[in-house]
Amino acid sequence: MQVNATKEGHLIVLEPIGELDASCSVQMDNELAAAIAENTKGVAINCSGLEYISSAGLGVFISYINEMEQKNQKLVFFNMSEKIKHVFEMVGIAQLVQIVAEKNEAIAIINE
Amino acid sequence: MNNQTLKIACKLDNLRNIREYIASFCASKRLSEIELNNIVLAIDEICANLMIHSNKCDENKELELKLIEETDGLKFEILDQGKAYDTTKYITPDLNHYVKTAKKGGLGMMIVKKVMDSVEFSEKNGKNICCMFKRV
Repeated sequence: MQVNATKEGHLIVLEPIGELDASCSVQMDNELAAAIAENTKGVAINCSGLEYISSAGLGVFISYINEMEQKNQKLVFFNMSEKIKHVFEMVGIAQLVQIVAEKNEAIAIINE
Repeated sequence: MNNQTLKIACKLDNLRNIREYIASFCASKRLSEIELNNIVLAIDEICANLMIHSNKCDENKELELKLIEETDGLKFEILDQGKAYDTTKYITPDLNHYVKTAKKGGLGMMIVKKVMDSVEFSEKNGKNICCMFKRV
């Protein structure tokens, strides 16, 4: 898996490409931690290249929800396939984070 | 009936190979993309747990996957010789608690229980066996 990070104005876009499982969740964790440390308004996760996610990957996002709320940062997912969305819903994370269709929606939510 | 066995080292990089193997085994059942992903995910979760917690990612240790096609569904047996999983310790996770405490692991078994119609752990001849059945 590869994670691209791009700073765009007041937010950071992270783009995990490939399969996010127990073998590479630490990499995603490091990238998200670094993005949060930039103290921007939030982090948008571009899921267009995310082919698979297991609980190890979901756990990374869940573990930063509280810290991001305290720092007034938003975590928004966009371009998520139905397959990945189903996993978010099955575990119950879909209610804890924002999932939108397109990047401009994610940016609008973070910049609110 | 189509039955297959895979022996694979307890190395997290092998999870991808396990997923590919399961997906190819399930191909004859003509599952939807979401149904197939659920099954592959549940097996991945069990194998990751066994590799990390029971076998401490010791590459000299193996998992043995037995995939059995039955008339009314798919049976998956995963055997290992690590530390047995204590099912009595399983508590359905409270997601709010995970958020508050920034806990990362432990959601895998929830996925397995949601996806599979049955999940049983047992021990035979010094091996731990996780047996799962999915009606399809």
